[in-house]
Amino acid sequence: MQFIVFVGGVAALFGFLWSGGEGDALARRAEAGERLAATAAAPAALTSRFLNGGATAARVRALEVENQNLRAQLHAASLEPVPVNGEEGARALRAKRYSTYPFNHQNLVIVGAGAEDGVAAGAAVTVESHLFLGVVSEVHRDYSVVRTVFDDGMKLAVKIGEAGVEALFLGGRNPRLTLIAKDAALSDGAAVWTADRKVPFGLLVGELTGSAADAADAFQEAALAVPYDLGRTSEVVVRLP
Amino acid sequence: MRNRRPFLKLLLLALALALAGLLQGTEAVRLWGLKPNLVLALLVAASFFVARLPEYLVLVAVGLSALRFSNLFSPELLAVAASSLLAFLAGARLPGKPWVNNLALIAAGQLLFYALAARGFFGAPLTMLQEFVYNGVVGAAAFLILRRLFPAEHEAKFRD
Repeated sequence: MQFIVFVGGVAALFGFLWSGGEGDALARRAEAGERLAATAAAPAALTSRFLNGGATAARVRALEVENQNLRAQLHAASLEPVPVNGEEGARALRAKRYSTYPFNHQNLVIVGAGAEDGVAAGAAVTVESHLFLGVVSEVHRDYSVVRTVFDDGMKLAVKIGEAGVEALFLGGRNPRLTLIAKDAALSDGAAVWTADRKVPFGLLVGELTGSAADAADAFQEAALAVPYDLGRTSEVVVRLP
Repeated sequence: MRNRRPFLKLLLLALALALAGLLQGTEAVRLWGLKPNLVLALLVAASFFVARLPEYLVLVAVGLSALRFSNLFSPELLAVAASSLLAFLAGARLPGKPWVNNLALIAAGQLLFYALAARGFFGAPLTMLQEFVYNGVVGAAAFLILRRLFPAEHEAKFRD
């Protein structure tokens, strides 16, 4: 009897984890993982809500992301001759963010859009419409793998601020900018935009949070703050070819 | 008191591994930019309480199924499998107290994982040390809980 219960239980687990199409299984696992995490974090969330006015803080965070995205849209609209697409006929689609990579040597996410939706490898992925998240690295039938700005392998040419100071963005746990001209004037809070041929021009990558250069260095380096929290991002936008 | 429900014990472990794998795919477990390898830590701790290889292989299969990110036979999943099997085979042969061996095998498992899946990560020793701290805390907690729940199994595996 115990053996039957064990076999049945394990079979049910495998059924939950594997049944259905690949995309359905990924979505099911991701949702289960997020619900589990929310349940485990419920006491902390309740305390935070009590101490910090949690609902208000969440609203403020959402408004900050929206504000950054609107700034990025305004910047994109000011660039010529980049066409500005409205929602109708736009060459982009919204997709759910599924799991994040479970190990530490890469930073990847799975999104619920794939080849059957028109996604192609190398496509840019954003949070909202203009906050750069990463690039599609693998495309499957109904899901894709995205390499994010938090991955050590992410390198992009970018520009800083209205002056358009050129720099190289290096991804990782602490994203930073390097190869900045030593005589370039930088200010905290300056926006950093994509300027790489591999991704659409003018997407907001983040804001400067501090720069430094040794006397012996030929270039400056700067730290970068990304304008969204990946853990709180449930939906992304995938640019289509 | 001898545990009279070995299959229910295995079911509990399988469920815990499934939950650990699902959690590891979320951002909720990320602390200061790093995720603990929950499945590896739990598998190593569980290796001290499962005596038979076929049963342990079922647990490994459950853990890997929950952990699977994209590709079925990715180097990372094979590395987790290899690291956990190392723990199962070596755990009973190591000198010293089992809870120390648990931590040592977690460290060895983590090193083997990165040696097989991402050698370049050895260029970030502080990051690996930080991850070992996370994995060690999880593995130690799992070991203590399992020893409290299943003391007879733990002793049986190490009895001559």
